[in-house]
Amino acid sequence: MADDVNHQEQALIKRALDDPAAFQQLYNRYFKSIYGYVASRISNQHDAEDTVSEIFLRVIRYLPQLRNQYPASFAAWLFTIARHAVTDHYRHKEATEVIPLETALPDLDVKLDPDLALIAGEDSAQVRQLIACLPERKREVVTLKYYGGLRNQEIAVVLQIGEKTVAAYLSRALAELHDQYMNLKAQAEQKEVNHDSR
Amino acid sequence: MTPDKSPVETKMSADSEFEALIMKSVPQPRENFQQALAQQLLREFEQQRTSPLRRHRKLSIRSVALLAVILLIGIGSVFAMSTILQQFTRHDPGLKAIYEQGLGHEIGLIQAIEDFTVTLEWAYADGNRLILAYVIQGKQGTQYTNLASDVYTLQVRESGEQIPLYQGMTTAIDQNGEAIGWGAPPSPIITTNRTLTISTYDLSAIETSGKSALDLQLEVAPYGVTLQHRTQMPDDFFSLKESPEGLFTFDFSVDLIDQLRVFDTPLTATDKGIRVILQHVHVSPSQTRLLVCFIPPDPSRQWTAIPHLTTSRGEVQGGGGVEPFMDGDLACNDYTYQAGMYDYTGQWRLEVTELIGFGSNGGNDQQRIAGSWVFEFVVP
Repeated sequence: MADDVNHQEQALIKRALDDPAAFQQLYNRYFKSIYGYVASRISNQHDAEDTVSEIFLRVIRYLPQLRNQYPASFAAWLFTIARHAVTDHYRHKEATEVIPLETALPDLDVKLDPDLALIAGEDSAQVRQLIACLPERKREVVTLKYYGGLRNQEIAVVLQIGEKTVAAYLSRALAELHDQYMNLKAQAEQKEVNHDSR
Repeated sequence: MTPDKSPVETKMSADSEFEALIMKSVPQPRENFQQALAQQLLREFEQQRTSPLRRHRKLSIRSVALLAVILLIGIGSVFAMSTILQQFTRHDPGLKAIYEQGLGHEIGLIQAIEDFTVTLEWAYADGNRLILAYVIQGKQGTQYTNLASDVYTLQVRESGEQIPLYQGMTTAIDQNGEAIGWGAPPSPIITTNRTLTISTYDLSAIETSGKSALDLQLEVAPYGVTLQHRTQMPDDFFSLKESPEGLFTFDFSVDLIDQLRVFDTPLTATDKGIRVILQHVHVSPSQTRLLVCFIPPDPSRQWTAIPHLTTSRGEVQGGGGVEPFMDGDLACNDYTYQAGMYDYTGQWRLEVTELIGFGSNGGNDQQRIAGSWVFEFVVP
């Protein structure tokens, strides 16, 4: 079954090299997951949209490379481009003439604000905020997994780490997120109780 | 009647509910953005697919003529190149060591697409590290604030295996062929028509045993931007970006220096009830790597060990990069010293003086455990 899907996708990619309709089909298939991943890494909507646009422009540019050599996973190939584009976004924010890449990796300065999350009063917003507060590597694994829809094997390719390491990061990140989410819930409930008793 | 769920089933159900909640929290695009971008992309798609450069990326007669001219210029730039590399070695003792020994070699491959030129100047490879130096030249007469590459993919030609990038530095080159920008004040803005990039790839990530040379392919996608001020917004950045169509692809070979000293007998040291393991030490002419692992005292944190490496020539200064990763239950730190220590004989000593566990609430959320985990060894 997975092989069938892979073959169908390979056929679609092959057509997308020259056929705009096939390219659009590919774009529609991946747009939301790419947008979700990028917007979780770049909070400014305008910047996120520019980066998504840049990613698909690079896809158009690099697609011909796949004419002779198909990657093990197209999704991993695509998200590698996306990850580089996000890195470039942060690098370009600071860089001019000298670019030490190791210091240019994105490190969002987001602090958890329980009050803000609680005021938002929406589960999704709270979860997004909790994810944004995760350490860099865990945040990447979580966003690639749940927003990008990638399998652990594909995440390992994108991040160039072992599959077991991906699984370890993921399980710890999930446990952390779950604990913090439950804490926020408990705080919110306590606030309500306090409010009602006044 | 529904049977009661076992504790395991209840946990699994809670986990998958929470995972569903995460998936539901995916940021949503504003209305019409997907459609608007699709239209823009399709226009770009049509334009790219009908472009003669895209269809025939091989060099045209005009390009061959241009290439011949550039090759002549290229010979001059190779000499300038050694001066710039020499300047760069101040920042990288490992590179300095191999440069002084005459290891590494000039490549001198040049490609031009539209008005951009990329010259792959120099390469070096040993069991730990592969270093490439290439020069990007923008349109004649244009001064850029940013002149670099979006792509720096390096792969083994035969297998297609990618070699991960470890570190990269780009510097502007002035009219006299001197590197500028390193240590320069943030203003005024430096502009240039030529930059040098020195990229380090992690060659330990691929199998190289038994090989005396590597046949590689490097892809570079240069771009140039001229910003008016340092903090110009990215939307301006994208609209100002100039880049030639198509990738610069270099097929080349690099000699693999087979000097690698390996110490791979795991040593353990225990303090504060924590057992730390020195897994291995790999010393090549340009780099030394040590792998240290331990069971993390609190697995929810990301742990880093603070190392002090001493050889018969004293403490190795400057530390090195560290790549923390998990290997099963072990928290591992792969330390990289960009130092020329291949001829450092005698006893070495590694002391880990602190373990630091970073929590999820930013830099101040740390658990620090001071101690002394000492390893003494001789690298054969």
